[in-house]
Amino acid sequence: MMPDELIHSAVDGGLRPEDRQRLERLLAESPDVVERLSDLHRVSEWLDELGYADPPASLVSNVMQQVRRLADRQQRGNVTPVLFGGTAMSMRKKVLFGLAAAAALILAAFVMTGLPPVENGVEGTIGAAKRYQAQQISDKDVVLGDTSAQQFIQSDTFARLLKDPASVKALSNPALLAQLRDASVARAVTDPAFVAALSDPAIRAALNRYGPGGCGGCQQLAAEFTSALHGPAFAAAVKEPAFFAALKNDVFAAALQDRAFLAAVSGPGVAAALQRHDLVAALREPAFAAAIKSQELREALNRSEVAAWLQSKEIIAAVQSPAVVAALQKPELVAWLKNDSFAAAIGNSAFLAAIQNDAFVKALSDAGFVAALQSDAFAAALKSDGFAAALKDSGFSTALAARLSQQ
Amino acid sequence: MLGDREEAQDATQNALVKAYQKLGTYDANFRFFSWIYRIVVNECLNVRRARPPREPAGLEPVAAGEALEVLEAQDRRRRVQGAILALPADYRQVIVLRHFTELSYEEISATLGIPVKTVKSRLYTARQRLAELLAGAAPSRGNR
Repeated sequence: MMPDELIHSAVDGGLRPEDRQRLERLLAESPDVVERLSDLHRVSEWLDELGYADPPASLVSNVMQQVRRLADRQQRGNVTPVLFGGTAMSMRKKVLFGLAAAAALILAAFVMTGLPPVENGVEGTIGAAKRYQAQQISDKDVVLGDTSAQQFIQSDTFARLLKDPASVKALSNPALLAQLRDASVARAVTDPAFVAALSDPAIRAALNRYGPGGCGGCQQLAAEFTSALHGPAFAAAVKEPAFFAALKNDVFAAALQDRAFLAAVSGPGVAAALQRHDLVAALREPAFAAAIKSQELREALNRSEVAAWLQSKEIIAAVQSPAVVAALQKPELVAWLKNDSFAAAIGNSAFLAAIQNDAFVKALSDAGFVAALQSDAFAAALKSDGFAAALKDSGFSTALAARLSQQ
Repeated sequence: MLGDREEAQDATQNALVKAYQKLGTYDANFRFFSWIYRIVVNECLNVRRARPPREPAGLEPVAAGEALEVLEAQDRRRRVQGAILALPADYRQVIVLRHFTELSYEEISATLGIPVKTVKSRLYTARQRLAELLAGAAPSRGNR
């Protein structure tokens, strides 16, 4: 390597050990080399200081508007269709463009890097007369940066995803693309766990069900899925490894196609609970996934008391029991979930222990027993140590159920 | 690349629409970002060629009461931006691709369609010119 090449390679951090030794010799011999290296390092640091500028929020919608116009003109036959491999643009190509649109934010950051930005909030007022007028930079105009999304676009993983038809199809969902534009979700999707999950055939298959043509009424479902994803709690859940594990489960994947289930998991209580490994595991239970589709149950689950309830490990263990889940589908029990006496019960450790008791769970299938649970007398009894001790006893629960059923 | 936010927005938008129209020319054997960066770079060049010459950015008066370090940092960023814009387009491209998109020499070569050797020599010259243009930009005091 020539001295110049050595100096620039040092700035780029690409020196081999033997070159490094040579450079060190040069530095020891020549003050001029020391000065040049120092100058170039300084320039490099200053370039890094510039960081990234935020792209305008309207960029993606503007691009998509233009694309829609083009597509309309193509449909009317005024313009040659976009071709890919000699055929009219197919799903794969639309998907590629979708990805390009999603990458727009990143590309815009690249294009605008190093520009003198305008001040916040005045973009719309800058007219043609000011178009060529230099703008003053301020600290707040320069967003120093989160380059993770850009790194993802440049990664081998992204390149591989683009070459894989199944991944491309999975990423074609407009709802998912819309999500990529959400900052919190964008950060989530650059997580190694998400990238690994996307590489999983089962997950791709699950996501594909949202793709155009994947299922009847999918567009509406995709919109609802998007709405569910919009919550910050759900965005956090997306980062949860257990969530991805659940996605691989056929039952959970199927449940995600169900409007009622989506509505259920988009509630604040359930969305927060989705961050728990064990609840996600519970959702994989076919019976629980089925039960949660009940509108009554969903309404009950989205009560703040029930949101807290879902944080209880005893309850989560209980909802993995087929008997409890079967009981959850009973209108009487759901009605009780909405009752204040339930709120009192879930705060009671004896009750939490009791729901893991087979006899108690069996008793839950009895309408009379459930009616009793809703009574003031039961709420009062819960406060009694003797009743609490009795609740833990299977014989007591059995007897209670038998007694109540006779009434 | 352009030194104007609105022009950069227009160029990005046009580039993405062109990417849509030219999707048929994308070769999946190459990396997607190289292909789309190239479209963006070309669009930026088109915009620059089409526009009338302009005055270089001037310096705003310093606001009283602001910390000296903050003012120095702002001033330095302005100067660095000005220096990048003063570079010929060929040199500016490699600086942007190397320092802001962190592409390797090989990736820049693929994006711009020039040999790696040319990438290196342009990068060396560009940095050298920036160093000359910014010779007076170091803080008047401090550790630099």
